[in-house]
Amino acid sequence: MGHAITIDGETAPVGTAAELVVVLNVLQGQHDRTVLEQLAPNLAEIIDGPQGLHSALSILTPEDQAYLIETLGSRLVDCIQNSRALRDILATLAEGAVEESLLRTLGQEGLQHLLATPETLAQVLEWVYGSRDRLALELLGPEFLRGLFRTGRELSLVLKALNAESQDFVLDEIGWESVPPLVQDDMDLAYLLRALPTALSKELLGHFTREQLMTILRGGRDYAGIRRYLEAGELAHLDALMGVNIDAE
Amino acid sequence: MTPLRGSKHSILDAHLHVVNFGQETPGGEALIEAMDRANVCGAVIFGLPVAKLWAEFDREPPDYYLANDARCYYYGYTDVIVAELVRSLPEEQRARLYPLICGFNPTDKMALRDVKRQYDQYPDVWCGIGEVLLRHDDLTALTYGDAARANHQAMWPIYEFATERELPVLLHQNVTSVSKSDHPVYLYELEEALRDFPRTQFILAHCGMSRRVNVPFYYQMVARLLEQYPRVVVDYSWIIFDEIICPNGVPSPEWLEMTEQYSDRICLGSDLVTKFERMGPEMHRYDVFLDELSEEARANVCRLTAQRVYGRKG
Repeated sequence: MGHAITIDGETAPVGTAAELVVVLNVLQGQHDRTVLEQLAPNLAEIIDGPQGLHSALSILTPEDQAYLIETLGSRLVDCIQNSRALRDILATLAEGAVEESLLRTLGQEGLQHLLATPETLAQVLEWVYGSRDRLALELLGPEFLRGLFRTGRELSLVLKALNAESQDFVLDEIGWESVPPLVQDDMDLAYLLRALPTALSKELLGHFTREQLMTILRGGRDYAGIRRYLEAGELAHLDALMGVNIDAE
Repeated sequence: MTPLRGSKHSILDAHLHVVNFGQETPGGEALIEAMDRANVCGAVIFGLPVAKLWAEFDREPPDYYLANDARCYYYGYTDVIVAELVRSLPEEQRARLYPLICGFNPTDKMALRDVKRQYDQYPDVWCGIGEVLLRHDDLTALTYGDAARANHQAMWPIYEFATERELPVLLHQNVTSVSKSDHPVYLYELEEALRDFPRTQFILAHCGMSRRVNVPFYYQMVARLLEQYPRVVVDYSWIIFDEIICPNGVPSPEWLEMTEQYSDRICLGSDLVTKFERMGPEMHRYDVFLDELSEEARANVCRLTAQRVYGRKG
């Protein structure tokens, strides 16, 4: 039958997130914090999953969203359950402070548990911006990030979801020199370069040896596979690295 | 928190979907618990004849027909879900429910096959047919196939069957299109059916209104339908109450007068699509209107009309 809350002398049971939302609706935002405080010890049980968390967050003010998240504490990860739900919740949070609260409450353990693949990390990073991007990456930690990527394409998924500053940060964290071994073929390189602005692409190319590039590009002079993915400056830089531009003319 | 306990008047919810657009239900026990909590003595229940596709292009599963651009398709199994929900309950709780068949394609001339099949498979369960989703603005546009309408010839055998078996038929038929708010362009479709089936017990869901659907002189139109077609009943449910009958929480005098006059042809419903926990507040909002009615009219609107219309015959 749920957990009793009492507001202005009236008592009502709240057993599910849907019932919590109805109560908050009926109270028209006048007692949200009081309701949450009264239910605090049982909130994880009431929320009971990503759908419940999503619906509860959707009706609360940013301050109460943060309160709910922090009250759930270590149970937050159990409520979110999976990366898709984390992505969807982040997509609907409008306040940076609440996003930060969510990420900090999940902490390293929670985030590493939820974001076990490059695809899931990329999808979540799509919905956090600015300093929260960086926070998520810092919380995950360099060791976790280094172990996450097996190909250039996987790394490109994550880079694509970041601004240039955070891209630089990720590449610093995993080590620029660790990127060339990830690149399996020309398309792998193309996806990676295209995820980066030209300045970073050039910097990245500088970490490849000519032999590595010859292997990746199968010795081809015209890079037919990836030519259409490259900016003119990148192409010229690649030509210079391969030492073929003058000969080709 | 008074609204959580529902109306102060015991109400038979004459319009309740116990299955959502994902074809899921919280189940019979949750339904009865919510009814008890919201002072709802009985409920006319049905599924949803369409399911919302989780499209290949959508990341999130939809939770409502308007959740995204994905299409809807007819889903007959909805009736089985409802019938099994009913059969899962003890007899005294089943007696509070009035289940309707809706899981058929109203633009398919074979639809009667599906209705008969349900009726024969669960003869102890069904009290009628509906909510048949006919003209329904965005939902019509999102549903695969022909536009369903009250005068579609595929519905004629359904109406005949309903008449023979004395089964009421609850129709959702918008009186107009979203883009035509100066006159009710689809009303004639409804009236063709009413004209051709004068012995059929029709219920017009939420008086033919829908989201973004409105026309001038609404109460006069409803009053004319009630006057002209003696077997027609209407339900007050969903948005017509908040937008037309009781705008801003103030009962319209014209609607109060018409309700007094035709109270034995009017019933109340929530039109919830599952979300039973909202039943209390949904029913509570009717109090301001019900308080203005005579005792007789209130009893009719709250319970008696629905009991008479949907109650098992014979």
